[in-house]
Amino acid sequence: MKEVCLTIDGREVTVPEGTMILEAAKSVGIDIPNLCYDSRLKPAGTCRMCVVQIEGRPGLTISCNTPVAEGMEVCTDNDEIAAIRKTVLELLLSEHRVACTSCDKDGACKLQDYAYRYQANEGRFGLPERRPVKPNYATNNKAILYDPDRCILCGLCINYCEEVQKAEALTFGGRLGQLEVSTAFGIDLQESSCVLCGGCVEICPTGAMLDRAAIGKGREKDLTRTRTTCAYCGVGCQIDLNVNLKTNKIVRVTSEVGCIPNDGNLCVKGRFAMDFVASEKRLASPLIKRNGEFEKATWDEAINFIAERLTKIKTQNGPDSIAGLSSAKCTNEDNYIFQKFIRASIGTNNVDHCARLCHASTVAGLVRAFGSGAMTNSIDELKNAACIFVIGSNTSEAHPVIALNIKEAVAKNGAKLIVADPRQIDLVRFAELHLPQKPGTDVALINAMMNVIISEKLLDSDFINERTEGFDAMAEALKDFTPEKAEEITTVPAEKIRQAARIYAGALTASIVYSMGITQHTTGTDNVLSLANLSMLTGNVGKESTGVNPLRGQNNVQGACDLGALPNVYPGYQSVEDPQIRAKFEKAWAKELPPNKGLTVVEFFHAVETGDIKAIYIMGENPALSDPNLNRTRKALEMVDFLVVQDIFLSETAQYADVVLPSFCFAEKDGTFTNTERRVQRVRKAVTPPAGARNDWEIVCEVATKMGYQMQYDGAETIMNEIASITPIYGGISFDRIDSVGLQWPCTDKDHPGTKYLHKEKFTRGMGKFHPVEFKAPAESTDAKFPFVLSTGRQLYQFHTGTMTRKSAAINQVSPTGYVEIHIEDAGKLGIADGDSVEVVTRRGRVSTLAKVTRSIESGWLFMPFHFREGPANMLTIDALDPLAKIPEYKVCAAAIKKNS
Amino acid sequence: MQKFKMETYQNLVKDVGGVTAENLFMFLGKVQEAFGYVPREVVRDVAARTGFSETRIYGALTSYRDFKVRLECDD
Amino acid sequence: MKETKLLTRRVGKYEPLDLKGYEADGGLVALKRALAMGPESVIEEIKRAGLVGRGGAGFPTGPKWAMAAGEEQGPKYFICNAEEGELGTFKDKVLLDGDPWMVLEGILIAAYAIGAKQTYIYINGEYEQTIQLWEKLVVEARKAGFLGDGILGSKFSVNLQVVKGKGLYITGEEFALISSLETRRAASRLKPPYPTQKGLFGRPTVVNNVETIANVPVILANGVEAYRKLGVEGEPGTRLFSLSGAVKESGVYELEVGSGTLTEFIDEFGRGTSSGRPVKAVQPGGGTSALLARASLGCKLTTQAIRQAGSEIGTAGVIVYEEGSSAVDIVKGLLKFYGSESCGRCAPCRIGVVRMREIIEKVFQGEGTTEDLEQLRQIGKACVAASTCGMGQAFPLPVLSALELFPQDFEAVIENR
Ligand SMILES: Cc1cc2nc3c(=O)[nH]c(=O)nc-3n(C[C@H](O)[C@H](O)[C@H](O)COP(=O)(O)O)c2cc1C
Ligand code: SF4
Ligand code: SF4
Ligand code: SF4
Ligand code: FES
Repeated sequence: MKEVCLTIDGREVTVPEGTMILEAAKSVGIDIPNLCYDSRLKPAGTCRMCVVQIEGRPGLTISCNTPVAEGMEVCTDNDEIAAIRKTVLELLLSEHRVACTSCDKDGACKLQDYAYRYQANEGRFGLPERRPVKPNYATNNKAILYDPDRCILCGLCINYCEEVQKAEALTFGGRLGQLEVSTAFGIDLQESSCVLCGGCVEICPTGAMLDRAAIGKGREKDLTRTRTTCAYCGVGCQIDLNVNLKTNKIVRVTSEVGCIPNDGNLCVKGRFAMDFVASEKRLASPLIKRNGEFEKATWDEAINFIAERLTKIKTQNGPDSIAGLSSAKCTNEDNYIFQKFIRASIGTNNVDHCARLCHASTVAGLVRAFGSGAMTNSIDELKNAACIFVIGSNTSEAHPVIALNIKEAVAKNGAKLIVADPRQIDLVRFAELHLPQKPGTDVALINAMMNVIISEKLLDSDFINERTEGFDAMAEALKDFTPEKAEEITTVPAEKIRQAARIYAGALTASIVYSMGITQHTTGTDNVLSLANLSMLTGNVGKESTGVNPLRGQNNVQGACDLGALPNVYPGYQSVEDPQIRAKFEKAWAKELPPNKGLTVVEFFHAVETGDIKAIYIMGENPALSDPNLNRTRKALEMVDFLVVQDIFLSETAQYADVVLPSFCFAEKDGTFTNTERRVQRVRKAVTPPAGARNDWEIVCEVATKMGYQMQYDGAETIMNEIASITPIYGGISFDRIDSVGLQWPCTDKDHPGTKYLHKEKFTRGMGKFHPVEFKAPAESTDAKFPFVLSTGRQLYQFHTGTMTRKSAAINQVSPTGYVEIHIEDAGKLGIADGDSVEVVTRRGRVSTLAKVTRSIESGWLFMPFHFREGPANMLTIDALDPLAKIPEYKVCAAAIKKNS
Repeated sequence: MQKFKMETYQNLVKDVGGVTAENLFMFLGKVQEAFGYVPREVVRDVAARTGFSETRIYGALTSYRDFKVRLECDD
Repeated sequence: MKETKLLTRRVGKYEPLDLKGYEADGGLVALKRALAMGPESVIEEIKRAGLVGRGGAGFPTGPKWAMAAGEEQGPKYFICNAEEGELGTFKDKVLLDGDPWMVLEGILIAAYAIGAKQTYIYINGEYEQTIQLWEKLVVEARKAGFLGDGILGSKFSVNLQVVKGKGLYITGEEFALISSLETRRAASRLKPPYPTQKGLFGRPTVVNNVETIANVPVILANGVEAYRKLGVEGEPGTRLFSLSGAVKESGVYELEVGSGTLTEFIDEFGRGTSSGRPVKAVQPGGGTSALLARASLGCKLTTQAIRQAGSEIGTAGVIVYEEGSSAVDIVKGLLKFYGSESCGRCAPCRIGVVRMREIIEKVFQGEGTTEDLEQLRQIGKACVAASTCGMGQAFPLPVLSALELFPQDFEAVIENR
């Protein structure tokens, strides 16, 4: 881009063409006053505080919407400008009820700052009359407060909601004199299209919008900000916990504009769901179950008891009778220690975690095709993709901040979005094409797209020849897979499949984004392989803004996989079955290690039934709600001889435990999480943990040590150094390098800059490999008795099993309980009305919940979120597994529904 | 001025040959003239027809003196 | 001093809906010529004619069209601005009612020149009969093949939608007008981007005043040379002056640019002030133009001369105030109107206009102080310097000029306390 040179206050500045004067000034540290500028938004230009003088132009010009020009001479402050700014401020203050004494924003308010800087006289043009207090759109909202008396009508909240969040919940309402921010018809915010991201609150330059729960809990000067990584979901947003040290409470959550990867944007969970940290329900003492009742115990008692029982089981039944479930919610350091404990101290590879249940098929598929089982490209690259193909990901609900990038790509940069999803999900609003495929028919859809690409010669032959192998076999397998054939299987019209293929193949850069809609099938690995095929066929991998991008569910599911909480690999995906690698770890850990890969999580619960597994050690997971076919899982938890659960709450799973150990939550820990784009980011301690609790890794170290295997570390940083020393992809990671911005693996040594996108020039496995993939029907099909296809999944407001999110009043207001979505016509036939109590039945169980009658789901299908213990969807799901990845088919089973009388 | 009836409204829609982004403002003027206000049902309906959000249409209407979004009682 | 009827030549000469009458009197020649010339040549002619906008801002019309025509992305739109909301301005109505076919012909030529298929005419809501007339005119035009597909057998297709204004002064401002057509709030927007770049629905759009557009068929029918014979160097043609206020005869008069002075105009066409007392002050360019005191009224009726005298020609709405009226009353009257017309978008205008209205009311009640006058000046200057659109930039001008020209009027009410 062309550079432009100008002078600002006598200083020479060179910036790209098109830069606004205000930004150019900022780049050299000249801070032009502004009350309505935000780098994420189009200039609002409402406050007029940013006026400057440009040599040769009459009068003043606003700097936030005036692009620089070659040779321009700008003066940003002089007596004339100051006088205007002061007058504008005094005008604003004549409408603003100044109440700094009791305002949360005191010290962080731009209006206050500038009023001070320009010594504005707040009564100069009279003080505002006290308007009668009347209810507004936020009066009944538990998350947000709006006070029109403090609103300077800058419009930032409205613009943020419209331009970034694209929720369009807010607008100015009324005319001069009664102008205020409102929802449509002033309806309650929670009834509007608001998704409660809280961006409006944070962007507000004054105290007009506040985090309701934080009111009176601390002003700027009372608060300490700690930068850390959000504990909800794999996006890994950087958040600042604003803690009042006097009360040891997280008062509010903010995020800095410009931070990577979220640019100051958050979703409802990161913003409003931190209540759990200070919840009274937090566990504060170890518990040992005696005669069916939990009794408080000391740490010594508990650790001794566990060490004794595990040692006994190990001697009597062998180490393979013990299994460990590590956690995608815990830090990398916790996971590393946990798998080391299971492998070196217990002596088995029976270690797994919930990635099995969400993305095992990603790892299995992408490793086979490319050699690396992770998101190939970065979140930020989505913005510049010419085409984005979203399949099996309700991104706006499950990865809300990534959805913002996708929407920005469409709205700002004209990207073409294709959404393949059975439901009318939010992203469909922005899509060029929506392909509502029947659940479980993804392979058919993708095969047909590839059939079109090949037959219409839209493929990238150079890429195929130079970078891949196995093309011919795959092409052969696709020969008869016409869009017409796919239409029969998927119900998507053939012509739409053709269009999708043409758009995807015709784009300069095309990114595939997928999530659990692809992976949680008995054909999960096949689905992933198909997507890998599609990307290689068109050369859309190994380049910026392309790739195959699995969005990982939990905050640290990527890290837990990376750090070897998997039965077949050590940290860094190094195979346990490779003798050389094993030897390396044996040396590092000073212990002989088992040579065979271990069992996966669903397998260990099944092995309890056969008596092969006698003890399970669970760190921070809740299989009693998250695993498929819950009746069976819960039976196994009941049956197993010895169960240890380490958690922050007495979860559904902890209820079954013999010993429960209270641990720290993310806000009390130091360490790292790795987000979905492979970025290793810092987690920092912000509050003092509950007195009786301990750090996850420390607890595990103590048990190991007590069992005779010495494990001692003086902190998370030391653990990371050990990780780096034996995990090549993390070789260059250290706490000081990731202090301000995380690094993306592979990062092999101290000088390696990290890897923005994978497979540049060469695939991890050398050549990219095409796999012929046959379409296979889901494990269970509908019949007269179970005529509906039931899918399960996530919802924006909740996380996993709700143990954390459901402690937030703001969230409970909008998402009080579970439900099942049913198409309006199906509901009509069954006499079901919106909000009715219904029973959903499958071959495995029955659950009562509320009906949500909608048009956003196709007829014949049902959808249930899985977060709610009072209507546990996993009572219904099937535990049929993908043969390679062993991931259960959460997304398809046959079900019936009826109205409860 | 007549009482709001969905039927009368549907006839107005027919008269203009369908509501689109390009004629919405003019059309809402006709709704205002017919009923003395633009009811919420209408906003919902035209939002669906034009792809504009209800929020935007509501915000717009309230900025004009001659549009009303509620029936004003004459007391 | 006499009128030069160029645009108003046919006014009242034919039945407004009678296309034949219009055609018989030289109508449609320009359109036919335009279609034969091609769009670029039309724009070239308008440029050469030196036509500038009559809506108040005085922007050259040819270059404006060229900008929109030069944008690659369509569809493009043309909007005829018939909001005519400025105080003391009622000239567009004369053309809309008296020679609508000529205005329509201008609209068609403009649309053709910039490549617009959809056009709008946004008419002041108080002009109810005018709106009815135009709705009928559209039907007639469609019947006669002047709207719809393939105008006059050419490949050019165009539609016109008549939109009734909603009683807001601000919707005369081009971006606020565009916003309302988009069913957005009646509010202005930042420039850049300009309407010619991102106007209606984000597409290139030209907004022209009725009188501006009425010049177009005249230029094309008579030729550029003939057109440029009228007026003064740099400002050819005629202008429609609306005359109102304290005059015996108010009305709309078409004058050759530069054909006389303000004083002559007021005396000859207005037949002097209502009461016969001398003129005290004049707003030459509508309600937001600065006041000129009697001493300055010898200026010619040209953009340059009026500017040199200290005001703007604006909408050419000449408002006359006579001796005996107080500048306080004048200012109060103006602020009473503008004080509720800000779109509320930008801080200084939104708050400033209300504060100024409150202050002047206080002063008028005899409760003012010199500090209040200082506040009027301070707020007024901030609005002029820092507002987004012409409203905020201009409404304080008569106030500031009144304070400067007639300080004694203000002091009188303050001292009377
Ligand atoms: C507050 C305000 C009100 C305006 N009202 C009108 C109006 O009623 N009619 C009009 O033609 N132009 C009006 N304008 C000027 C328009 O913004 C625009 O400049 C004009 O329509 C362009 O047409 P022209 O180039 O033919 O003059 C107004 C401008 C402002 C700032
Ligand atoms: S919380 Fe987010 S979605 Fe809701 S109104 Fe604010 S910006 Fe919009
Ligand atoms: S609530 Fe805050 S952000 Fe929104 S308009 Fe008012 S001052 Fe601006
Ligand atoms: S100057 Fe006044 S009318 Fe113009 S944009 Fe600003 S607030 Fe609106
Ligand atoms: S920052 Fe430029 S107008 Fe507000």
